[in-house]
Amino acid sequence: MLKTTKVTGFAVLFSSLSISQNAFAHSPIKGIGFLFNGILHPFFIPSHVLVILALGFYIGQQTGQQTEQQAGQQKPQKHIVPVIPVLFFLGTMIVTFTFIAFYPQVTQFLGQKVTYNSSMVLLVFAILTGLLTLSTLRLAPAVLSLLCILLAVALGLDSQAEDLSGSAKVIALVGNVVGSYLMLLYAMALSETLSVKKWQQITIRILTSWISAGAFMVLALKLSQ
Amino acid sequence: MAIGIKNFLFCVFLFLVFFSPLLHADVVKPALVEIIVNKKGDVTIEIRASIEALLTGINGRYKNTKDAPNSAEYDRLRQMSSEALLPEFKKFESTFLAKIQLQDDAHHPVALTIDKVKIPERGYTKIPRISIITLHGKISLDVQNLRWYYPLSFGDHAVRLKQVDLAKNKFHWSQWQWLRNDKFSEPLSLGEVVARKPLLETVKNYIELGFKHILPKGTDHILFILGLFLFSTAWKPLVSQITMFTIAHTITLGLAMNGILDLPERIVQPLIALSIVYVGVENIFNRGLQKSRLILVFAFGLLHGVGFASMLADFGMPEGAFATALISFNIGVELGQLAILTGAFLLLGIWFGKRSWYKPLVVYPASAFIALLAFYWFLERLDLGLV
Repeated sequence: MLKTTKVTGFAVLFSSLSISQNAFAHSPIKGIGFLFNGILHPFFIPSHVLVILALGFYIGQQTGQQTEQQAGQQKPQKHIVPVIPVLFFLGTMIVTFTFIAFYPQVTQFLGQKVTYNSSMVLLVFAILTGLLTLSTLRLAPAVLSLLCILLAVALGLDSQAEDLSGSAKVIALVGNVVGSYLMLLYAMALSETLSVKKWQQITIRILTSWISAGAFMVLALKLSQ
Repeated sequence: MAIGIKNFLFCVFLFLVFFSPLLHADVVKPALVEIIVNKKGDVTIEIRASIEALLTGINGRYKNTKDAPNSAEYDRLRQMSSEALLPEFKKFESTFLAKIQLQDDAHHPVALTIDKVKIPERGYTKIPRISIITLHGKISLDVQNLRWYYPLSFGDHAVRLKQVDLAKNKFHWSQWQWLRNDKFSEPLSLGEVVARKPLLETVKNYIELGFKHILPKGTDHILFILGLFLFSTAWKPLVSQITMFTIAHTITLGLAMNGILDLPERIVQPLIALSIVYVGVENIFNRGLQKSRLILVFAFGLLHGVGFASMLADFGMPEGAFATALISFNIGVELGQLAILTGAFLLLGIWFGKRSWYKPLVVYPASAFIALLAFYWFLERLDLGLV
């Protein structure tokens, strides 16, 4: 039974990742405006969803162990909570606005050179972050900060809203930042909530292992092509 | 070639012999009826028809009026001058009025009188003489639709309704309805210009207007309400602030709509933006709910009320239902605010409200974003060319 569930999970992950690359590019729902479309955008791109969820699960896992930490098992990691995700958020915002909205020429240049790679980078990040959660390995705050910034850059470069321009583009990108950030917070909150009991912690680790495995398979497929 | 010309002339001859009656064929044209209703409920009906045909009962079913049994009478009337024909019609007036009918929503007939009959001078008698019969009536402004009946015995006809608001120079024409089945017309709506909207419809329209003014159109009001929400996760500060805001904007909305308060937009709009900046900034340096915050929220509510009034004035208020519309609009605004608070609670409060990182990760970034955006609006609304 467990085996069947795992196989199904892998199949869903693998197929969603396979079709993810710009498949649902930049207008998930018509008629709801650029802001709301921007907010929904990261939720409609499976590779973005997986990367953000993996990061959120990891940060939540680290901060959510407070119950056990309070029992004296581990030193609290509270200090990473406010800093890292905000850096993530700011990184996304800075990258998105600076390179995509305000400097279209630079965007075009980077887009031609980096767009494809940025999706590959996202997959690498998904694998790494998933493995971090799986192993419950702790990173030094500085390393985690760097990981968050790089991930934000990769997400930004993969969210260029090529079919929009002017204020519509800016509004959609603001929405994109808000959507990505909200998703990260939801993942963090869920991971924190599911960190009290042993089976809850295992659930999160299983989820992130699926993320890593799915991303790894798609990456292998891409590299083989 | 010669044979050809002969054949052609023969054909012309045959045509003249056998089809010459058709050259004199005289068909009664359908009547055109225009019903004009103004904002005072005055109804004017102009009927363009052949009075001779009405008097003799000859209508469009005859391809040639000469086929009608009383065609001689018809021809006699057509030879008459307008002065001579008018008394003939006078004798027919009561029959005419008894046969036509204008009905309101409740199928009650509208009392009609003949105001004027204009018969043109006798001209070329081979085409019908079109006279204009003008009728007059009065209806209540609560009537939403009218239906018109014109008997088939008077002939086919087309009818349309024109609504007039001379004070506002507003007009509305319905589509023409072509009637040839001896039945009432389809309802002719008075709702576009003339009719007073039913109370429930006014309530519904203005609640919807108030709601839409907040959600999704009122981005500045959305951010202000979100700013209040982010101030505290506890219910008491939120309820206190929202109550203050609501009381304040209700006061100024009422005063402004009654013409008692009149502040220029170029002052109000930048101040509204500035109020949002303040709420955002204060959320970051929040030291708990204090009286000064409530007083400021009340003051900001006064400003927002003037903004609501300006928007409502653009939309216009219904005659005779001013208070209803104002209250309904305000209810719509409150519902919009509640929807934002519910959405914020479902999206943020319920998930993150109790987290240790709620303030640094949710309240501070969101409040900073609100303040920055509102500051941009402030500069933009100053209209100094800064942005």
